[in-house]
Amino acid sequence: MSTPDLESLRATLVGMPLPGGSFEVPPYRAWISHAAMNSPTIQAGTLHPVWILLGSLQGMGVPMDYFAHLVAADPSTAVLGEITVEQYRALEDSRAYSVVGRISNIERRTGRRGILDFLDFQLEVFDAEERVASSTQTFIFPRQDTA
Amino acid sequence: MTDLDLHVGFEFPAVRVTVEPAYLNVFSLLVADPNPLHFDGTAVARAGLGDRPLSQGTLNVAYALNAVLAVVDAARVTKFTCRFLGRVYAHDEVVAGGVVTEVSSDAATIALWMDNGDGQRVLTGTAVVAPA
Repeated sequence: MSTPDLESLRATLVGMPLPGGSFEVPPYRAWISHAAMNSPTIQAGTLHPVWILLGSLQGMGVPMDYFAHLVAADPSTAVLGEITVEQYRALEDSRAYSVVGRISNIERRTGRRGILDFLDFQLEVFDAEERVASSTQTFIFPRQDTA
Repeated sequence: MTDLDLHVGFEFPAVRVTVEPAYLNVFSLLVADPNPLHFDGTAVARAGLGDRPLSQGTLNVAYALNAVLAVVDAARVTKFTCRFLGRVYAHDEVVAGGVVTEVSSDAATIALWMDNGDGQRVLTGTAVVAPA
């Protein structure tokens, strides 16, 4: 898989909206997920803040490996590099949320581990009335080319 | 100052958890993540990354935040950031904690950390919490 030119990736991808969608977490999914996280007890009906990431990934309208395909990278080597999350109001189970997102940046860095592409995307979560959370996540794609 | 119950230097008790492969499977299903590195040890070996499934980044974030959530209501968390520094594998015992680094009139900022079973730091970050 050859590494595409960075400038053409930037021109094509930065600002690209994601389809978006919605999610709702029924109580049983909240229970199972909190168990999987080994979460401390959380007030009934309130979701662990990590659900901002889980829910928005679920509701962004594209599968998790979409970004790898966009940048012509091997999806099985992609890793999450960094996240920033803001919670304006705690998410709740049994409540419908919509997700709006876009690709916000792509950078290429060269280091000891070779060439790495960093792709940032932003996801915003809304309930029926207002924005309740937002996140910026960075996926890192190692390139097979050597530095 | 407000009614913040946290002060600079306050250390959140460290939380320890053993990364169960079954929970990695649950997380892959939750977000429909098809990456085999999170559930198939042979895929991890093929990638030259070891022989056990790798924990998802989102699950590592949860482990780190749990140190805060054991003390502070989840609804008080207004912001958190994480940078992933190393891999966490199934069956690793990770330990996570945090320390308050700044307190203002409307928020406390916490430095988060998480180490893997070898004592290697695998995650750093911050959490910001609102007054009680």
